[in-house]
Amino acid sequence: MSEEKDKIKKEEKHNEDNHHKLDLRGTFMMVMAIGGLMLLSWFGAFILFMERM
Amino acid sequence: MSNYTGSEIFSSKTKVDKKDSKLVLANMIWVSFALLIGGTAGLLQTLVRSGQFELPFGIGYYQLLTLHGVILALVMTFFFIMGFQIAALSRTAGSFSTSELRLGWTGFWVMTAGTLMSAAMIALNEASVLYTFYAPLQAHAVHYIGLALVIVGTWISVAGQLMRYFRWRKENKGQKTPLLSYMTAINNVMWIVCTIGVAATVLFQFIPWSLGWVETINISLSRTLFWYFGHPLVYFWLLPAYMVWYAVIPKVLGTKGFSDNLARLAFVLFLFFSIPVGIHHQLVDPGIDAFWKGLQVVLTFMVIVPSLMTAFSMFAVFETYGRKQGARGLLDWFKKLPWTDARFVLVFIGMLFFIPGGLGGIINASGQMNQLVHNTIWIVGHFHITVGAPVILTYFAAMLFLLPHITGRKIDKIANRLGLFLAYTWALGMGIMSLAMHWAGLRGAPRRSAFSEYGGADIASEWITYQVMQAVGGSFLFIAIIIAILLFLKLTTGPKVNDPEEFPVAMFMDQEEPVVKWVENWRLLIIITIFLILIAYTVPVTQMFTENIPGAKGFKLW
Repeated sequence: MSEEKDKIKKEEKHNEDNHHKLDLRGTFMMVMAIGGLMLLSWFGAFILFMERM
Repeated sequence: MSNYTGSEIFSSKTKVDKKDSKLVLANMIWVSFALLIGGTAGLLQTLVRSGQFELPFGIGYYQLLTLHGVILALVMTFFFIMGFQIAALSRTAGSFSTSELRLGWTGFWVMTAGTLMSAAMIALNEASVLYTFYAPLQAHAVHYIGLALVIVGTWISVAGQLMRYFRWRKENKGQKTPLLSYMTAINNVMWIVCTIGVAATVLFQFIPWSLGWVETINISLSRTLFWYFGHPLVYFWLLPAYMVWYAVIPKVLGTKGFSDNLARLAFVLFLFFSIPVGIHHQLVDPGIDAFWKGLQVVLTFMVIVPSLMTAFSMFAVFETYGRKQGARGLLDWFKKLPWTDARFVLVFIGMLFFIPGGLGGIINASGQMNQLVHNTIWIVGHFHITVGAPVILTYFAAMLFLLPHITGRKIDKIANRLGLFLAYTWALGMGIMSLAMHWAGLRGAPRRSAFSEYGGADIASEWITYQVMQAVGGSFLFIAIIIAILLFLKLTTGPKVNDPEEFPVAMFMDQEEPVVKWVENWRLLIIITIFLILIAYTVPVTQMFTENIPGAKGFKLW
């Protein structure tokens, strides 16, 4: 019984440190949001630049 | 002498060596002084620019502006970086040897001597040339010699740090070097390579010119050599903050960092791409071909890669931690973060500021679009939400655990609360001030200028409201500085404890994985760094020697 528990614990620990098993939906969204902001701010400045040419 | 390996590196019981601690503390005392003096100067500048205040005792606006820039951007940051890196090496690699420590102290005293020489010239109004000391403005030679000594002092200290790092490698052949030690080595190598530019211009151009040995100076060359150093300087400030983000903050949360290998790769990319990009500060300068400007713009954009790698890593750490605490939704892991721990809150607020800071940086570096913001107060807003928020707030967070760690004390409830007040007050002040600077800059308000109504011009009257907002923000920032000083005093006084505050060092999810070999191949890293520099700078610098550029005599406009 305790062996089984140890095995489960080991498995959980392995999953915790395994990059492929992480749930990173929020991280993906936040990084995409930063990318979106980057495009938005850059084009905002670009439009202003073109207006003042 | 200690030599830390394996689990010792991450143990909460592992400490910065006592002898090394004294040197760290000496550097941090300078940080506190510089913060107070520079912050006071900053407050007075914003008050002057509001149009409601005039400087007393014949103090000049540009004299004050020079003091603000030199004491904060150079002196405060350099002393912090030297102190923090020595602490990081002593904590993760092990104590410094006598000779390494002697180099640290020699560097400290040389930096101190240089700072006092420059400070004396600024106080005597002999050096109101701002911290960028652009020619043909000409300061007293002692000012340039003082600045050169500050740089030489950092070299000496850095030599001691590099010796400590390479001694660890020699004593522990084949082992992965401790991440924090590796990061200090990257920052130090970048520093040595980039300061050659500023040392060359100060030694061979400014000092002979200010002493009257030569009559004129080649301005294009001096500005190019300055910015060869000036942009990596930004990363020299930033990388110690990234060291805290990558290697300390996960441990503060009680979790692991995302990837040791990714962190090392990000630092290597900063080493490669932070130097061959200085010309993006000279996009409207004459005398440099558009092609070379364009090339350096492209190289500048390469820095976005390690920046976004860092953003990804930090979000991944936060999300993983939040999910372990029971978060299930898309973003509810934010709620699980330790919002009452000042070490985390200071850093997190800094990270938030870095998002618009990075976005603004991309706009600034976008070739001709730079004309939109060039020499406007937008730029001042930009560097206040980069070095003046993420960098300095992370420095504060580092001092929050480092000062009690090296003086044998703990962060108590009062100190933690002061840290939180510091974070919120700083955020409020910097938010108001930098927003006003960005908006006024887009409306054409110039930087590096005292209050003026510009003969009643309509456009200038639009800027005044923003200037008043800057004074309001500046006032909050000054209050935050007072809180910071009180916090530092609280952290270094009072009863000592047997179990001092931890210097947290995190393990990573891929801790057991071997390090990617080439990132520890210093010969290769240095060759690639120099190769990129030669590509970016050889032709433009050669043209400055061959195109018969007329020299300029010195001017003193104050």
